Parts: sequence; structure tokens; C-alpha cells
Amino acid sequence: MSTIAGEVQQRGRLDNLKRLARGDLSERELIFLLLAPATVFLLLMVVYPLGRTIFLSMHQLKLSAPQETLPFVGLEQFAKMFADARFYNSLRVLGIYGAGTVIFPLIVGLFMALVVHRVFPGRWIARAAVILPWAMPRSLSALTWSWILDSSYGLVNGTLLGLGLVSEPILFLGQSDLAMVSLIFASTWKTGSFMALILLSGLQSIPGQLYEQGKVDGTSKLQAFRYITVPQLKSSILVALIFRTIVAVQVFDTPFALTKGGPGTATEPLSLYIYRVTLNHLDFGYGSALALFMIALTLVAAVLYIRVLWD
Amino acid sequence: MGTRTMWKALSFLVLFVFVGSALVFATGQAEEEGEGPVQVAFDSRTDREAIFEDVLSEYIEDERVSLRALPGTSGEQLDFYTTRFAAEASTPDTIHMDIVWPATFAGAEWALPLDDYVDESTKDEYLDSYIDALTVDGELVGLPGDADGLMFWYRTDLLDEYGFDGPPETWSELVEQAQTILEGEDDSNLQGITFQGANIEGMLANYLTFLWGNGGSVLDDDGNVVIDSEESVEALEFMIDLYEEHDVASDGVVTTETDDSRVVFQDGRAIFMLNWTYVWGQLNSDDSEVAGNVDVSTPPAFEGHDPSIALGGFQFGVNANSNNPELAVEVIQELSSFEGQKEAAMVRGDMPTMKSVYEDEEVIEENPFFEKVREILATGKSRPKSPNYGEVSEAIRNQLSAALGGEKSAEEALSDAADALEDMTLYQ
Repeated sequence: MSTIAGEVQQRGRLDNLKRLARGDLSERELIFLLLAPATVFLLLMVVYPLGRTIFLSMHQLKLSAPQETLPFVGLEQFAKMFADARFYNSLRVLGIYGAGTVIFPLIVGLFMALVVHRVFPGRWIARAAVILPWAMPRSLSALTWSWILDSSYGLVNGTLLGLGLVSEPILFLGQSDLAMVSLIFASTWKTGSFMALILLSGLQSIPGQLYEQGKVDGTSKLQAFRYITVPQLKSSILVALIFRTIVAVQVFDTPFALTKGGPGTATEPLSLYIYRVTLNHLDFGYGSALALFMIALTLVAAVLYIRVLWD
Repeated sequence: MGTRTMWKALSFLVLFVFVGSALVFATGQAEEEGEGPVQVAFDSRTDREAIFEDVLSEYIEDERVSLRALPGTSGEQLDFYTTRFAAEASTPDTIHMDIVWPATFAGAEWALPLDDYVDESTKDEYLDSYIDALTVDGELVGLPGDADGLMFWYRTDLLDEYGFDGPPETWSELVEQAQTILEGEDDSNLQGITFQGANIEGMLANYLTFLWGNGGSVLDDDGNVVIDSEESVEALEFMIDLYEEHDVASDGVVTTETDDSRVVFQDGRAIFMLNWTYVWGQLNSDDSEVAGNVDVSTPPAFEGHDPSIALGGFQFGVNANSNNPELAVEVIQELSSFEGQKEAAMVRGDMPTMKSVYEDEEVIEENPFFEKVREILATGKSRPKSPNYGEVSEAIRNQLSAALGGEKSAEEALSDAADALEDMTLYQ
């Protein structure tokens, strides 16, 4: 192809067009052509909205007062953000939720991966069961949990009351600490299977000889886990952790469907606060500033991910 | 794949992206030129569709109107309108507004001012409180749809059985009646009263019922925020005492939403309930445990005060960016007319906002409880108005929610609510 391209360069522009119309492309041209659709798509769907968000975060745009047309306010929205108690509350919620839904799904996921990695009759049923929560839409699973945990008609309270274990229904979603626990629990149920999937693929890539060698050297099962499985699984665990962190930072659907951020704002993470500021308060300027902060948070996690993968 | 085919495929792809994006913009343009039917959006919960199909049947046949059903809560419907109108979309052409939205829709210039289409004598045909709710800065921004209010529902069979001649008139009477009945029934599933304590819009209406019934208000006559007054604190403390001290409500009331209350009451698991009038039909349906044993009245008030109920209902407006505002106005006039409201009353038991519909014999025959309900509605008050209503309501509710859930004292919560409201535009 490169020789053809070399010849063509000597001819006139018209010939060049003819050649292009025929579909004879140099490698370079082909590269640009192949990248064009994705580039256009990214420009429309990522770069423009991002630019618009940055623009809005430095302007005042409150739809409930459209008469004031977009005055430039510089960094005022960010000053407001750093003085906003509800913003700090949403970060605190995000911190607790993030820590809980990274650590517990990892433990649960590792356990599930180890179980379905073993060969036993009916293993495919167990594997299907592991994947099921992952395949369910998050908002749907959160809604299901909100029904299960409901205080007046929920399955859990119904069972506990029926067995006489409690005399009054437990308000899983009505008390701030319990609501947070319920939220982390529901997320763990949902995301543990994703962790299990990644870790299972890691487990399957550990060469069996290592364990056989271990047996020869007389290691116990626990020692094999500690000195063979865990070190071999390290990179899978890292990948799973970082994936999970990025998703946890952006969490919206689970708290929205399960607790609506309540009671009060006790389980309102950043994304839910952004949604309320923009769609309920109609304050697109301030909402954009908050959204930018969230993008920054996600970027930190993403950079971490890239560094780990490249090392 | 040969180079030629690949080249073709690629050019199609590029073409597709460009033509696609061009089309997106072009459709925006085409929408603005405005041919085709007027899109009528409506709250589709609990079978409202039939009303719209009947009242607008001729328009639908002529393809001058298409219907757009909106499921979900009032808040979710508001999200729908907000995303559409924030992008200056020309559809839906008409709006089915919850009674607390007009100030926001007017402030954002989403709702078409209707003063050019409606004269004073027409306004007089409607209940004053609804014209008032739809008037923002002296401008009419909608036409009345159905009336609603957070009313007080009670079990006539239980009250009779324990020798009470009528529903309680004061809150202390309610506690007394509830405790007597609960003691006599000795049923751990039975609650004295159910209301909405979950952090939803309706919760504010519940709180206002207690607040107004204690002579309190959110704003005083001069428009100052007085939600942290002594009366307010007392009202909120009493709500909490209903489950904390008197044990006549379930602790679960702090996560109870509107329809949760209805379900509990309909199952025969509550003696009293605060709820909107949509429950009437369901409470008296075949699968209701309490059919025929339910009545409605004004809620109790505190000693020495008169009760007021919070008004609700869905009203009609026109999208300010509609391509066909003339037809859109005609459509909502049709829906809001005597015939439209009568149809709604006959089909679904919707309470009219037009006075003369309450005089109609057929309507009263079909809905004998209307006469009583109209008297209750007369005690109705509107929630405060604000172009930032969503923010105002949320600021109050987050504090109420914290107090009901025991995170804060009532006094602290209300003083925090008052602080939050201080900088917001708010009027009665």
C-alpha cells in the first residue's frame, strides 16, 4: 500500500481524490478514517457536555429565575460549594458508603469465587446464582430491597414479628445508622457477584502446578491460600477494587431507590445531591460546580487504575 | 472484506454520524414549525386515562390531540416536565400540574400566561382557592382541574362499637379514642392513626395539617418566616408523641408514603388516617376490608383552634414553547369546562373545582360524599408558594424528617428550617 501512496503523491490533487473515491488508502489515512466516527461521537457526547459543564459552573443559571441571563460569577459557585454543609455531608456519606461497598463486596466476592472455583456437582447452578445479582439492574434490586426491608409490609419484619423475635418492627430505612447499613448491605448483595466474576477469572489463571508443588512441600490448605492464592490473585484484586471504587463514587440509583437519601440527608451521596440541586432546585450553575467536583473524584480513581494496569 | 467494501462501510458510518446529528437538530427545527397534533400530558396514576379519552375523543379522532400518559409519583412527573422544558421542548403542549408547581412554572417561564384567554367572569365559576393557587404575580398561569385535599378518614364501625358518636374534633380526643379502641381490640396489627412521615412532598402537607390546626403557619401575614414559632414546635412534638408517647401510631410512620397508608387502612389495620381523596374509591372497593365502614371529615385540631386541610389536585397549563398554543388552550378549556369536570367526576370520582358541578344532580347521585367533601374543602389552605418551591419544600422536609426520625429535637429542626428559608423567595 505504501508504494501506491508514494506514487500517488507525485500526481495532482484530482488524482488524489479519484484514488480516495476508489478506496485506495494509505495506512495513515485509514487510521484517521477509522478513528473519525468515534472522535465525532466523543466530541458530541463527552467533550461538548464537559465544556458546557465547566462553562455553567462559572455562571449563574437558575431556571426558576430565567430573567437573569447567565451572568459570569467566576469561582463563586465553588466558594459556595466549599462553604456548603450539605456538600460535606454528601462527601461523608460517600466516604462511608464507598469504604463499606468496596471492602464487603470484596470479602463476599472472594468467598463466592473460591466456592464456585471448586469442582463439585451442580457447579453451573452455583455459578449462575453468583452472576444473577450482577445481571439485575441496580435500581430494580434496590427497589426490591426497599420492599423486603419495609417496616409495615416487608418480608424481614414480617418474619421477625411472626417468629416473635421482635415486638416492634425494625425501622431499617427510617434511622440514619440502620439506613446506611441497609444501603451498604443491598449494594454488597448486588456488587459482590461482580467482584466474584473478576476474582474467579483471576483464580482460573493460577497454574495448578503451584498447588501440586505446594502439596509436595507439605503446605496446609490455609497456607496454600495465604502463600499461593492471595499473591497470585493480587492484580485481579486491585483491578476489582478500582473498578468498584469508580462505580461507588458515582453511586446514584441504589440510594435513590432504597432510601431517597433519607432520613433527612443521612444517606444522600454526592450524585443524589447534584440531582436535587439541578432538577429540584433548578440551579444548573451550582449543580455544574458540584458535578465537576465529582468528575475530579472519578478522575483520581481512574488515574490510579491506569497506573496500576500499566505497572 | 475488500478495501472497497470497507471504504463503503466507513463512508456510510461517517455519513450516518453526520446525517444523524443533522437530523437531531433538524427535528428540533421541524418541531418548532409545528404541524401535527397537540400532545396532552397527564398524570396517569389510578386510571385517569379514560377521562382524557372521553373528554377529548373528537380531538383524538381528528388527530388534533395525542395523549401522553405520565406514570410515577408527582415528583417523578415533575422531573419529566423539568427535563423537557429546561431544553425548551415544544412538547408536551399541555401540562397537568400538581397544585404546588404553578409558581415554579411561571417563574421559569414554562407556563403560558392565560389572562388573554380567560375573563373575570370565567374565573368566578371556580373555587377561589384554586384560581388563587394558579395566579402568580397577578397572572393566571393555568386552569383548574380537580380538587383534592389531605382529609381525615376514620372507621365508623369501630367508633360505633366503642360508643363514640363522631370523629374526634381535637387531637387529644383522637388519642383518647384511639387508646380506648386499641385497648379493647387488643390486636398488635392495629394502629391508631396512619399518616405520611416519609420524606416526600405529601409529608409537608401532613405537617401543615398539624401546624395550621394549632394556629401556626409557615409565614405570617407580613411574609416573615415563622415556622420556628412555639405553635410549630408544639405541633411537631405532638406528631412525634403520637408514636413515641401515646403509642397510637406505628414507629414505621417515618417511612410511610401516601399509598402505604392507604394499604394499611384498607387492610383494616388503622382506625384513623390522613390521606388524599383518591383513596375513597379503593377503600370502598370489593377487595377492601373496610368497605362501607369508612367516613371522611375535617382533621382534628388542637384545643381552641380550627382545623384546616392542605389543598391538592392536578391543574391544567400550557407549555409556553408550544407550537400550537391556541389549540392547546382550547384543549385545557375543554378539560376544565363543566362537561370536562362532570366527566371526571362521573368516571373517576374526581372532585370538581367548578362550583356548578357540585350542584349537578347526576354528579351528586354518583358521588353522594361530594356534599360533605365540599364543606371540608372549604377549610382548605394552600401550601406556601415559591418559584423555588422544590428547594423550599425540601428544606422544610429534611428538617421535619430529621425530627420525626429522632435525629434532632423538634425545636432545633424547626429553627434550622427557618434559617434555611430565610434566603429563599417565599410567599403565601
